[in-house]
Amino acid sequence: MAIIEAIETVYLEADTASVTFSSLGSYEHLQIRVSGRHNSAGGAGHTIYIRFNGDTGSNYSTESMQGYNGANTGADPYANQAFVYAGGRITGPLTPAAENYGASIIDIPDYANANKNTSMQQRSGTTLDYSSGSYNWFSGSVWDNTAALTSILLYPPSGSFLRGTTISLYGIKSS
Amino acid sequence: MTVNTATPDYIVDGVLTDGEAWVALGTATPSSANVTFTSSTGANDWSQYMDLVIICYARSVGTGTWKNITTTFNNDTGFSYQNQHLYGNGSSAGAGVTNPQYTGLAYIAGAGATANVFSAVKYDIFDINSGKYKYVHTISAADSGNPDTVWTEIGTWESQAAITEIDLVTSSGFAAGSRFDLFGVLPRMVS
Repeated sequence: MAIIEAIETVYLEADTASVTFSSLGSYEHLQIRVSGRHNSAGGAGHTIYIRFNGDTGSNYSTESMQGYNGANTGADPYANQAFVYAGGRITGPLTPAAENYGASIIDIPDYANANKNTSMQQRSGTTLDYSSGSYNWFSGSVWDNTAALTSILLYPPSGSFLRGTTISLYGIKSS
Repeated sequence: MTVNTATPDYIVDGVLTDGEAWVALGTATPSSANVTFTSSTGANDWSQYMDLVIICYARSVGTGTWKNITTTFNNDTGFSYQNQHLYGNGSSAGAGVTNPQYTGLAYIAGAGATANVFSAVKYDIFDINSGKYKYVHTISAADSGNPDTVWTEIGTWESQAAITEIDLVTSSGFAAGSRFDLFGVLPRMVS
C-alpha cells in the first residue's frame, strides 16, 4: 500500500491566475510542493495566497518568522485575513534571473476532519528575488472553520502565476 | 552504498499505475568518507522525478564539537550558489546571505561532541529536471553541545542543467553510523 501518493501535478504551460485542487482524495494529510514565479509588472518576490472551500471571509490567520535580505530577521502576524498569507514564496518580474522560481512546501494535516479548524505550516524561500533580496520563510496558518477541506485555491496577490510554475498535491495515508 | 536500479514499481508490464510518490533511490552509510549520489538506471534514473529528498542522520569525523555539511550539484564547485540562512543557537537567532561554492549548508555534530550524538538533516531539492535554477531547502539540528544549533537554509544552484549528481561533504568525512537516504518524488500529470 502506498503511503504517499501523488494526487495531481499542475504544470502551467501559460500564465494562469490561479490553481485550484478540487479532488483531494481520501488521505490523512496533504502536502503541496511549489516551484513558482508570478508575472505582476513591477513585482519582486511575493507570497502565495491560499483559500479553502471557496471561503472569501476574513477567517484566516498566519504567523511567520523569517530571515531575509541578508542578516535581517523578523516575525509577523497576519490576523483575520481573507486568505492564508505567506502560503509560500514565489519570485517575480524584478527577480533578475528569469530562471529563478521560488520553492515552497505546504503541509496540511488532518484536512478531512470535520470537527477541527484547519491548521497548516509552510516553508518557503527565494534567493535574489530582487536586487539582493532573499527570503527564508517559515509560517503557520489557521482557517477558522471546522469544515473538511474540499478545495484548495492558490494564487498570487496580483497578476498570474508565470508559465513554467509547477504545483503538486500529495496525499499521505495513515496505517 | 545501496542503489535501487530495479524496474520502478509504478510501472507494471509497461503500464503506468498509481503507486508510491516517494521512491527509495539509495542509502549511503559512510565511514570516514563523504557521500556522492549519482543518477543511473531503473528507479535510480532521476530524470523521471520532480523533486528529490534526502534524510540524513550524521556525525563528522572532523575535530571540534560541530562541523558543516556542504552540498554541490553535478560537480559544480564554482561560485554558482546563492543562499539565505536563518538559525538559532540557544542564545540568539540570526540570518545571513552567502554566495559560496556550495549550497545546502547544514550543521552536524563533530568528533568532539558527546559520544553517540548524531545530527538530523533534511534536504528538499525542487524541480530537478526543469530549465529553472535549482532550489534546495535544508534544515538541520545539531545537539553538539557547543553550540547547539538549528540551521535552515534556502539555496539556489544557478544552473539550468538537470541534477544528475549530489555531493555531500564534511571535514574529514562522516563518522561510522551516519546514514543518508535519498528519495525521488514523482509528479502526477492529470489530463
